[in-house]
Amino acid sequence: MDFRINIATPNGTGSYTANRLLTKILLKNGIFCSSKNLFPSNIAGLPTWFNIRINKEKFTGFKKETNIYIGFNKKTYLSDLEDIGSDALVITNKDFKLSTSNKETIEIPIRELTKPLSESPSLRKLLSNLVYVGYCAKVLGCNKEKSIEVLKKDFLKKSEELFKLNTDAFLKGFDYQNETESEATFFKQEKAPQTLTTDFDETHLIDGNTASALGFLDGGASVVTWYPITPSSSLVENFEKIGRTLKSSKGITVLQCEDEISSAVAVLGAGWSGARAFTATSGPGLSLMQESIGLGYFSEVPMVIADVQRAGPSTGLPTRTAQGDLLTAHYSSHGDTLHPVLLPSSVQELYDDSFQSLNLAESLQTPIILLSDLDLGMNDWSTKALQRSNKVNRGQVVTSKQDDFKRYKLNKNLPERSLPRISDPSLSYFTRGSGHDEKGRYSENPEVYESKLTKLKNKVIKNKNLFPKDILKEENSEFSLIFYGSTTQIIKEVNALLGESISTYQIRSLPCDQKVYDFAKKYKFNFVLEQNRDGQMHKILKANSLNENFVSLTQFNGLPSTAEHFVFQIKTYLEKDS
Amino acid sequence: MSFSKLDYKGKNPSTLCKGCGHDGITASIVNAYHELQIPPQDIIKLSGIGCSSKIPNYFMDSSFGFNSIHGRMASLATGVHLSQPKAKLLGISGDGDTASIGLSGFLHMIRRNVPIIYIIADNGVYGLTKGQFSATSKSGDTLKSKQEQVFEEINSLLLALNTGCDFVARAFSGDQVQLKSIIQAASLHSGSAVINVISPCVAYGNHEGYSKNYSLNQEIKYDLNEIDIIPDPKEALLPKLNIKNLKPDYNHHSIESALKLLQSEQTTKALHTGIIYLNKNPKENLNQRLNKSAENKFDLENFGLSDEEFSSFLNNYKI
Ligand SMILES: Cc1ncc(C[n+]2csc(CCOP(=O)(O)OP(=O)(O)O)c2C)c(N)n1
Ligand code: SF4
Ligand SMILES: [Mg+2]
Repeated sequence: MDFRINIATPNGTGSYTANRLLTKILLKNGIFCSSKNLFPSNIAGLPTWFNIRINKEKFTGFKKETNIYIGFNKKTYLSDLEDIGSDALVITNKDFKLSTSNKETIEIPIRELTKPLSESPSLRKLLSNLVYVGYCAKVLGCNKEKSIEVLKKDFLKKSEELFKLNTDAFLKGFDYQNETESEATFFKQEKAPQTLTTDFDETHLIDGNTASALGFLDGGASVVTWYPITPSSSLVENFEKIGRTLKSSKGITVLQCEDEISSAVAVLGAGWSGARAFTATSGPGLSLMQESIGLGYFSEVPMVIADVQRAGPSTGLPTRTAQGDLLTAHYSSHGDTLHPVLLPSSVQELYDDSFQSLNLAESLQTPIILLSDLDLGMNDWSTKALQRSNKVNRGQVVTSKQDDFKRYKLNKNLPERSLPRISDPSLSYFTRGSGHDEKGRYSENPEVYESKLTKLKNKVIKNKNLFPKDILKEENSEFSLIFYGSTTQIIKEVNALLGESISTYQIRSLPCDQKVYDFAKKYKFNFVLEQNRDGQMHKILKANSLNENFVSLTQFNGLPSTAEHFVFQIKTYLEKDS
Repeated sequence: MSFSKLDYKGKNPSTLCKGCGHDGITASIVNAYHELQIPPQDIIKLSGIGCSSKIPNYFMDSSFGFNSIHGRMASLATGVHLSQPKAKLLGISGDGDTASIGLSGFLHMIRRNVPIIYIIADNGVYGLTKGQFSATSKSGDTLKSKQEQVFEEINSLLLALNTGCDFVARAFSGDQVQLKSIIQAASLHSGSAVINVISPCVAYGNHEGYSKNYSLNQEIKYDLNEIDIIPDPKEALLPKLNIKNLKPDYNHHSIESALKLLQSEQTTKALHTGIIYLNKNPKENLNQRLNKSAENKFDLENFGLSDEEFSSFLNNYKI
């Protein structure tokens, strides 16, 4: 069973809260689902669509065809109808007085139902969202009491009154559906909601940015500097909010800077002097941070940058998703660089990688870029309770007196550093982004420079064992799928649509592991699936490949990728080849 | 005395041009800290990029230093302060570093009152890139090539005052004694202390027709005050600061006096040096304002969330 619920509303009408509630209600009722919010770069008025995917196989990817359409935005109603399935259920507001199409359409008399609830028109407007939530919950066979439990959890902590009002509105919709059920043949189809119910152990619903914030908190980040930008802001905001309630005594500092140059440099300052520090940003901010990342790389200062990607270049589509920052992240700044990039694909991995990015930055003493995206970061994901298995690693810090301390030893696998006011003064050194020798002394010597650059490269490459491990599954297939980040979310579905078991390889970090080449050698084609125009991961793989056959497949329309899109590309390619 | 002058002098010889004003700044810093016997390891030296930003390389080898990138010293200092709120930061920047590429960072650092002694080695040119105009050169200044400055000057001290800086001073690298005592006074201050030092560039900005040249500034220099630092006999206490006014009617505790003075220089052409403004009731610094615990101690173990914290957090997201 596979459903897409598409809820269309104008932005800024409180529908987001209501729609999240619906997701929780479905999960509470044992209906596995995941959601994606497609919202505009606007505070109020522009159209927004909230999508819930219900799928027995637990597919969480974006689905093209709508099966239940809740059309509560008059402006997009007609155009939205164009891409809904032929037997879709359409639910709308009767007060819109729309001429209904030939699709099965339920018109809820919102004004009539919400009138008794409140005198205030603005409050009634908010409550009307709860009416369609109630209606939809009933359509999908949710239990009344279980649903109210969800409302209780969300509203009771705010106020008794809010809880009551919202519950009343919810019940108006729920009971209205009860009364009118006979009108809808939808429920009599084999789509009966009961068949959707499955057993699953995804007991939590959490967005990626919050999971990331938790990872950073748990990893002991104590200084965070940032500059607001969608879709990364909620990462820092949640870090601060949670941090304040949980760790108030342990001295977390969050500072909103004047721009991303400043926030990046401040992270360097904090990391250099002993704090675990990070900043969060998105593409435009990453562009501004380039010079600082180069400084961190060359002077070997720990630094973590969480880039929650959005669609670029330039301002691009600020509220749409992409994987377009991969090359910029990996090769940030001028000159020869090579930065570790972590590529989480789920909230669990985001939590882990956020924690591990702090460990890696301090062990390798270099900038680490944690690359997620809007889809992963800002959407709610159904997940098992997050597992904690990470240990803090602060890297090699020397504190006691040494006579001939070399801050930048060449023949060390992992670098050693000393810290101002923490290490003995005999370990002091002068940090600089200009050429320097093993003791940090200024040097323009050609050999010194060359060996420094070589060392920096080796430091990252030879310590790949510290990075998150790639995940592969080998099958007896002719071709394979290679992917990373949020694209991973659709792979199960791609596999299912192709109707056979395909070998898969999930890249968890850059630089690439030798393992991916050993894997790729075994297949006639290795499709590299990603969400950017030019196949950036494909380029990276190709750069080091000998005769492995990598084929680039991309989707770059700003929407979360769909399995259907990639399956179509794969089939087309295979047909051409045969 | 437990620290000798050698503990403050660096081993690295200066690589600046012979006669460069910046070397005078180095000398004043060494004397200031030596006299006060501030342990070098308590100081963190910071800079941006430029000839001036090389200065921290030439003194106090046993303090840590970070010579960063062009215009970013203020942001770097902000990060270091967040990590080590008790550290004494000594920052050295150039006029290009501060008043052009780093202007925004400079002002935001001041508005947050990051505790730092922020020295601007102001020669009115870009020394390191071989003598282009900087934004602190004056309209009408001419380069050796006869190119004339046709834009207005940026006055970093006026900007600092207007942004709420509690300690604003000016010095001339030709008067190392005065600069030394200003640095000492600044070291007693708990927030951002900005010292603009006219520091002539002998290679590109010391000719006639250039407002930052040595002889002109020597001539128009007007000392506002005499600064005395009286060490407290009970060593645990901070030294006392005694400022004796030399200019009739001038009040260095009055922001109005300070603003008026700097504005008047456009017509009087005088170079007022000394402590221009010192707030009697200094504002809280960045860390104090964020009201966080005093020190983020470097800690190898005591990290992350407790089990209860973690599970109570997760519970909020349970369906
Ligand atoms: C981003 C960047 N742009 C340009 C430069 C080149 N650059 C180096 S120093 C400098 C100007 C320095 O002038 P100032 O800060 O006044 O220091 P001075 O050399 O005069 O002491 C410039 C433009 C640079 N290092 N980085
Ligand atoms: S170029 Fe000017 S500022 Fe640079 S060292 Fe020479 S005299 Fe000093
Ligand atoms: Mg200069």
